[in-house]
Amino acid sequence: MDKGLLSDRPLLNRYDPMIILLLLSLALTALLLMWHYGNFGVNAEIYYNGELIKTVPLKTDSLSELGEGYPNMTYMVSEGRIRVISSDCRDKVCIRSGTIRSSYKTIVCLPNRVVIKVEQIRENNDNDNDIDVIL
Amino acid sequence: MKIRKIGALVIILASAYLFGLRMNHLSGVSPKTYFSEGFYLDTYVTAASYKNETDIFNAVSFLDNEFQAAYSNKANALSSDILLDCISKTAALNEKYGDGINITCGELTALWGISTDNPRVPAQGEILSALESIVAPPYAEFGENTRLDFGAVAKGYACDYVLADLEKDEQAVCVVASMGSSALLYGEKPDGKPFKSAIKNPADPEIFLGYVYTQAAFISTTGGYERFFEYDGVKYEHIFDLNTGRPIETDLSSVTAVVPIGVENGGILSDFIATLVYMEGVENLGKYLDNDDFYDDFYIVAADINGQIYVSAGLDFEAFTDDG
Repeated sequence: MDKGLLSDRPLLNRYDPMIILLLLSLALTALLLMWHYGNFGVNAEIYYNGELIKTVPLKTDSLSELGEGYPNMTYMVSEGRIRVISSDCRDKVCIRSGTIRSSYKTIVCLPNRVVIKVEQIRENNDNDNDIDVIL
Repeated sequence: MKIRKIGALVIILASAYLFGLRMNHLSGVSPKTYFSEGFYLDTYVTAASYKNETDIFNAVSFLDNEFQAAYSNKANALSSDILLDCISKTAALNEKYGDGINITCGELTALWGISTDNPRVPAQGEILSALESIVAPPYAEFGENTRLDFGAVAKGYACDYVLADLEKDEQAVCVVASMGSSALLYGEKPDGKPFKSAIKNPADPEIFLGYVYTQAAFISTTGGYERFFEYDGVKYEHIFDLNTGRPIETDLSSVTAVVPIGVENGGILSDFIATLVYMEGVENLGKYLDNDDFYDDFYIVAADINGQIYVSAGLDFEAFTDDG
């Protein structure tokens, strides 16, 4: 006889709590890894001649140079923003571009062929994330 | 037992859906958005296309080569159909709006070298000599020392050129092509919203002047706040007064010109007008802001050196506020 919903068997068998715990811990681990390595995806990317040369987490304040083999430029990360603070380029537009913290804005150094941008993230509370172009 | 299996299936599907949403949130890139970029026309060119991948770089790199060839030898401009077309369209704008902008001022810009490694303030004699090399529109022939400089129109012209390509491409649905100070906003956005263009604030790179909301359009901005050099405490910017041969003295800090798609040669018009209005200053702003019969092809957003903003009637402009 099919008892259906009126079955008197327990809702969970003895393995189910373990499976649920395992799934929850896996989800939590994944969440922590994402938080740690990406600050939920907020990294700056530095390109030289169109090639990605550095990925810089914005959650940690830092001061660095592009390094050997690349233009002589220094960038600083502070409070989740990145900016160029020195450059051997001729026009210094990259320095005057100020900081960036989100994907709608980029820092471009034309003479040095360097572009700094932030990985794109949709932030519903940010009025600027739907910008199509900046001029 | 059956209900438990269904329940488990629902939980798995819901988790997969939420995980997918999260990953999409992280990557932020809709699978139907395509992005490409490159250094051309002395700027950083980007293209974002929606729904279908659309290439603008064949057109842009071709134009870039043509302009470069003309800079190295002006005779090349006379054998290039494209550059002859650009010269002819600039001359037509000169005829309508005056001679404030001139594409034969290359000797003067090279003399100052503001965008080079060695900018300098030239002697007056050198300036006068450079001014003599400039040919008046319609640029029927060039002098021996004439040097070309398409800086005031090249990016706008490129927007026109790209538009002509897109209009032939049935796959092109919506494309935002940015050429630095000029952009082409093509088609309709998939979400049906207007295009949102942010205008840089000349006084503060951390905030915008405001936002322009438009349907398909060309948009160009001119200002002296990015490309300049300082010598003896004086700031020399890259836009020149062709009467004095010296950097322009204007009480405007930024001018943006918006031209709806459909206006003939709207790209070069937006580029030309933004620079012209900037050069002419607040005193002459009124005639460009007013949408009378003569000036109805474009809309203007201008900021003066005191931060006052002027906007053409009929243009959807939202000034930047601290709360975003």
